[in-house]
Amino acid sequence: MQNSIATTAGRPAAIEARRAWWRQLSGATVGPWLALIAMVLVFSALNSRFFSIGNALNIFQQAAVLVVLSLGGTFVILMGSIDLSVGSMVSLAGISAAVLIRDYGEGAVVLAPLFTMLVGGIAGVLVGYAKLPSFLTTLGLLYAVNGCTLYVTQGAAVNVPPKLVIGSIFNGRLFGFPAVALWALAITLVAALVARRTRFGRYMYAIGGGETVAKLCGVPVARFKLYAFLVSGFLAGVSGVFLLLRVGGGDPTMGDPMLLPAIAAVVMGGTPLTGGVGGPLRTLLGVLIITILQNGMNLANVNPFLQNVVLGAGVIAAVAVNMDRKRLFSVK
Amino acid sequence: MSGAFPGHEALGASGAGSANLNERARDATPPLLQVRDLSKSFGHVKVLAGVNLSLRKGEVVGLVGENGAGKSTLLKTISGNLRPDAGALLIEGRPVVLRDYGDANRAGVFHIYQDLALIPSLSIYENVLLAHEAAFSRFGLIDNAKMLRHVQQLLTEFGHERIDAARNVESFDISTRQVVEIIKSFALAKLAGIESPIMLLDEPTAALTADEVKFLMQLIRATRERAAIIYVSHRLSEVIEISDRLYVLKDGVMVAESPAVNLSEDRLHELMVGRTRDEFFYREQLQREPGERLALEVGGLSLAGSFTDVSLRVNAGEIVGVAGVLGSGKSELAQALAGALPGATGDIVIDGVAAPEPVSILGMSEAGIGYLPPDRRDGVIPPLSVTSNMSLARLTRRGESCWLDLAREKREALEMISALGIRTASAEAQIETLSGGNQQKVLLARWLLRKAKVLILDNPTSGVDAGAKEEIYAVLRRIAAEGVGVLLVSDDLLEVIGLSNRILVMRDGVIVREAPAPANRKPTEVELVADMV
Repeated sequence: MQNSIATTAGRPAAIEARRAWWRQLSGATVGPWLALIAMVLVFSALNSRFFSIGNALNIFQQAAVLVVLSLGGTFVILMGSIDLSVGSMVSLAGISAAVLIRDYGEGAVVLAPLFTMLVGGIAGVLVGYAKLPSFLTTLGLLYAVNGCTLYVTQGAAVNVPPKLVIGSIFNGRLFGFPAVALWALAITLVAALVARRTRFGRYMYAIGGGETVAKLCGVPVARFKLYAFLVSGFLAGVSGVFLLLRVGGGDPTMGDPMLLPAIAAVVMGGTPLTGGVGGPLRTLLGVLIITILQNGMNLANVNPFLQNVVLGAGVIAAVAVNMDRKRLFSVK
Repeated sequence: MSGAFPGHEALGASGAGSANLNERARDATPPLLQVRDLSKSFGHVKVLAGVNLSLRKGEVVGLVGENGAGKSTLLKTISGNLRPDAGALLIEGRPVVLRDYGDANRAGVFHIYQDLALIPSLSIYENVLLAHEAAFSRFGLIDNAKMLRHVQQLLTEFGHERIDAARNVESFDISTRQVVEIIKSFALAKLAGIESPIMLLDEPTAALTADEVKFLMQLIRATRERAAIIYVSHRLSEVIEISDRLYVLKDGVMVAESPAVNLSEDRLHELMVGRTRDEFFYREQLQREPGERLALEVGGLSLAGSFTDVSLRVNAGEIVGVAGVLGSGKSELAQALAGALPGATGDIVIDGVAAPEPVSILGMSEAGIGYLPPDRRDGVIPPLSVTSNMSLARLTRRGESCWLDLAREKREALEMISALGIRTASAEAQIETLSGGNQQKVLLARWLLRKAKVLILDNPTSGVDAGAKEEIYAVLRRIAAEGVGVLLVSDDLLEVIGLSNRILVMRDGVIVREAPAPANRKPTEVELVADMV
């Protein structure tokens, strides 16, 4: 008797589970993969050089700087805020790293990410504790940090010596693979672990999914907002150092054009600006999409100005696909 | 005398009765507004079941009923904000279909909300004619001077020429804003070519002082001849005073209609409540004598503007109910005890330990308090799984590692899912896929996992159907049996009576009565309502 109850009760649950699995295949999870596959097919057809191991490694190397930058932004966006100062922090880190190497030797380069972490700290205090909206706070910081970088360097570029030990650590090849891409992959995996297996990560999802709820559960929301911006600042700094080592010289505006791709990668990967869902691995996917788009358009000889038009349209399309229409509110 | 609607024998037997609706409809001129057999359900909860109402020009009709009786739903249906499932609205005898509030405005219906729907940073004239600027525009440009003249003239017409329509709404007191709301109805009705607006006043006095109430009453008397008004309020004496006729709504059914002169507050209480309580529904056979140990002791707790000098005790294993109307301070009391409303002064002792100062949510939950907010949206994090939603409060405990133990998290979630009978596809299912009642059980589990000693529940069964309510009640009995103290704040009087060992009645921020409610001697709704209003 009891057995029969158990089986009849069990069956609907199983059906329910399967339906739930299908339901999870939303535009946000499937879309990025479809976009990736479609781009690979199109660009392979346009240029035979695209689908080659050499070009794949090239793409990984190009993606590395953006991956690290976008990962920091991922945590901030996960908790429903936004950090618009990441591009300016890359410039700040790049130029300070160049100056540090020139004046104090290679080892001093570790200080550069601490500078940007300080900027992130300012953003975190203003957003978390002073409850200012992150959009305008970080927009203001973008300007201020740009100004500082240009003031200190008087707008001039700073060169670094060509033969650097850290340069070989990041720029060399490991088992034929670009080292910087491996570093970026390692950072991605750590970020994914942090998102899934630490309290910090869980709180990011909780704050983004329902800030009031998180507060009512006793989550110290302000403090963890600060942490998220600190992480964003730190990773922007690391990404700035990577960029410096790749281009071989610091320029006070070197990271500024990376703002849009950094945020676009997060959104294209499937972490909506409303927060609460997504994560670092999806951002990796988003970065690959953007990098392949740029790489493929270059190989297909698309006009560089028109490339920006395509990229911008791609971002808007991604937002349209990802947006959770049940939870429409503006970015805080 | 008053009359029962066809099919409402209870009222006929009780002697109240007057000309019924059908007779009224046969009068020479049709009423300004008629509501016929209106029904509305949300999901499988029937909120309105065949409601009838009529309203004539110059009339003020009172609408009373308990929280959740369907008053707001009825008003929203009349004002086009909700579409009825069945039934008809007739304006001046002609059936109308109102697709939205704009439609309702054009038909002459205006909903005046509890919290006034005026934009503080705009001037009075801009507010009054908001969304109707087209009537004052030429070549697409707004003629502001013309709008101002129009509104100022209307104010003068109603004897309020001292109000400067060009000033911003935020610079006026609440009484003036009420005037503006009323004038707005007239202005928009006039624009639509309608002589007499139908005004729906939804708890207009809930936040008013005595003087402001007096002013509003004068305002209604001064304008009533040119309008028709449905007046909803919990303050029964006020409704009886201002209304010509009264309708009583109970569980979505219009149970009585009567001229106001025939009614007393006591009689209204009887009509409003009088539901029969199903003892099994509330698991009253499981009610136990509470333990000796004090779980929560509150002494002289006050919060300016919300409640004053509240003292109460909840023993381990005891369910203490708090009853009171909207604005009685009961919800604020719950929030203050949860640490979510700062500024309260007084003593809070949880399980023998004084609450940490300054009061914070984390501090109170660390001390052993768990809080369920009245709105489930303040409880669930929609994109997260059942497991993550359940463990969230536990993670904030002092001494928890910053690394998540996912295996433990899952094990605890599965234990709770089976212990509380939570129906979910899996522990990893998104909480949004669960029904409201099961979501609510997840939120109870959240605080049990944090080892809460006292649960403060604000309307734990709002918006869930009867079956799910029953399950939640069973869960609450189990929680109490395991020694947790429960403070149950609810608008559902039967729930409070059925579940509680003791009941505290709050009015105007003060506990006015403490009623014991042992399983064999439960107080009646009427007894409690008398102290609530």
